[in-house]
Amino acid sequence: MKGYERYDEVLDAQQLLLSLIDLATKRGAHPDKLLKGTKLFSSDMSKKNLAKNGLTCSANTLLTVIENCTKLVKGNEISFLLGRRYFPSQLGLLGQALMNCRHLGDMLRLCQCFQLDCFPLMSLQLKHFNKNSYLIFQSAVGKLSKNQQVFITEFMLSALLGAIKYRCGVLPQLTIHLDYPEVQHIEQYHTHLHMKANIAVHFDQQICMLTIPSEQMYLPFNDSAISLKTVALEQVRQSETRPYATSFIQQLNSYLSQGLLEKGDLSQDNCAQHFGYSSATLKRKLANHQLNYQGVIDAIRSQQAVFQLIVCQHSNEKIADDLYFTDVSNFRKAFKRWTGMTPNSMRAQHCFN
Amino acid sequence: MNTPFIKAHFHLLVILFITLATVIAATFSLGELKPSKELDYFDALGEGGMTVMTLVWIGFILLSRPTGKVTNWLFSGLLLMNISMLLDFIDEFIVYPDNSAWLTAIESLPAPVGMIIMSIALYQWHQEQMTISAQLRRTEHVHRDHNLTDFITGLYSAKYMKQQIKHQLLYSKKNNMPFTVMMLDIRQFDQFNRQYSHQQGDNLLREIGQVITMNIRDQDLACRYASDRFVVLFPNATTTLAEVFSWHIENSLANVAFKVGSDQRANYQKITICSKEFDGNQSDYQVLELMNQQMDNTKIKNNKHQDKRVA
Repeated sequence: MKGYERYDEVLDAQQLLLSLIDLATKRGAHPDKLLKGTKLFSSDMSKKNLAKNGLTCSANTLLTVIENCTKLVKGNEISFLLGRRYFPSQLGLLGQALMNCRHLGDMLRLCQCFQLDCFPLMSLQLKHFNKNSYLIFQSAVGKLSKNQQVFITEFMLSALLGAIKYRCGVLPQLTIHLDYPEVQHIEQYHTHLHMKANIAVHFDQQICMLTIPSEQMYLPFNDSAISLKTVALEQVRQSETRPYATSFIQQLNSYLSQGLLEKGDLSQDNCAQHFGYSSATLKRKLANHQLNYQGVIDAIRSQQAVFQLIVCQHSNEKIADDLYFTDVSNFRKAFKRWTGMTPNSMRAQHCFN
Repeated sequence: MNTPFIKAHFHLLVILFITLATVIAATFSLGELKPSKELDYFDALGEGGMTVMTLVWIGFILLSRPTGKVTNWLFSGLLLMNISMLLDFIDEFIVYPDNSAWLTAIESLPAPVGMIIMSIALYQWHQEQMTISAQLRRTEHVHRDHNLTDFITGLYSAKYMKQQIKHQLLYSKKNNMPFTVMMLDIRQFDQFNRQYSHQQGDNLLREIGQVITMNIRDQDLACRYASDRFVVLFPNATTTLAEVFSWHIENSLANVAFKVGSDQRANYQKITICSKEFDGNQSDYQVLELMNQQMDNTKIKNNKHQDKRVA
């Protein structure tokens, strides 16, 4: 199945774009200024035009509006408000299906399958280790600016925590690792994300992830109805006319990480062939996302190494071996290049946390 | 840009336009154009720049001020100064015949008159500002920065509070005076939002912000923290005093019958309040961190208390 790309006009604008513009306008920003650089005007968003065209937008449009929004609206509150209001009312039929999932893990799987309708800008990757589940966040639409990265992460976190709190009744003890330095508007983390009370937040990490105890992840909800979920999903599938569900970058990432695990042939030509493109097309597509092939591979390997280091607490030898490095010193050099610190110093820093 | 005032200033705009048109028409009809080699471009540039700048100032005054006496004074003063500068500027391009030389003689006259009027206007502006500052007491501490206000409640935001706490910490440490910070959290705000829409939630936040400011002293400062949390700074106060105030706020909020839109039913809100005394040996970051911890502890304690009562 084909994946959506940054410039494909496939996102349902009603879901994120309109509510984002609505929120920002209520906080004093002018809609046309929010839409600057998107080739859209606020009159395009009127009811009449929407009924006529059924507005879709590209991920790039949404990203531009997010960037404008962080510059125009004071207070850094919007990302959190957007997230808190997201589930289940903004998600339509999919929200209904999500409401009737058996447990959190089930909900998460739906989010992954319907990435385009749920979280189109970031992909969620689930990993398990010991008694914990780890949700790793990664951009699904290529390179993001710092503002966009912070905004989208905040949005995702508050939406996920909102959903967890809504379905479980209480918020379990969770840990969040963020891959950006501590922000100025820490008060929003205190109130919206319940930082300190239930959630431990670590800034300035090399990986962006949410840790949930697996027990909580698969704790069944009492009031879910499988039949309702099936009906809702069937309706979603019927109304689904677009051939996309997950993003191209997401597909590329999972293909490459699978390949890395199995030590397959990861040459650019081979990869292009797998997706049915020529090598030049793949290169151009990556350039559209402001990425390059080696950079993508490095990012995946770096993420795997960091995960093994801080979560599994493996030794350098074991990680080097798992990632198919010829020796430990090669691994140490590569790690330093990816993250800016040696494996040992990261280990020390993490123990300190 | 929001320009709610410009429409109300229609008559001033007409006056501005007519005056400038008259001045230009009069000078051009009385005098003759200078031959181009006599022109002093450097001079013309400077004087032209001054004319344009005063026009820009007039524009800003009309854009940012509501109608009223002070606005009229400011406008007239600036307009007179602008006339002088305009005459001076046109002077560079036009020579007057001898019988119209009086124009050059009086061209500098409007400026001093305008400056006197401007001075009167600025004095009145000062008086007006004092009145507004009195209205802003309890929500502002000496320093003003419109970039730090919170759009929803009209109070200052957490960033402003952080700055003020920083100042207060220095002051407290130097003078050995404790101060107290109070944090307030609306109970079940999420549920309210879900039930009555977020628009109404925003209204509720604004009203509660006002109730809080009504119940504190003049030297205290109330700000919005984030989401449904407020934070109040009490300089030179101990926890005992803050507890009295928190009792006052709780009491008055219990009697605020909030109406949702045009609905007649009253909606009473409950809040969680906690306060903590500081002696100036912490950092501003620690203060807020400690306040949040205190708030979480208070919430847990309250919940337990409720559970017991139900059991």
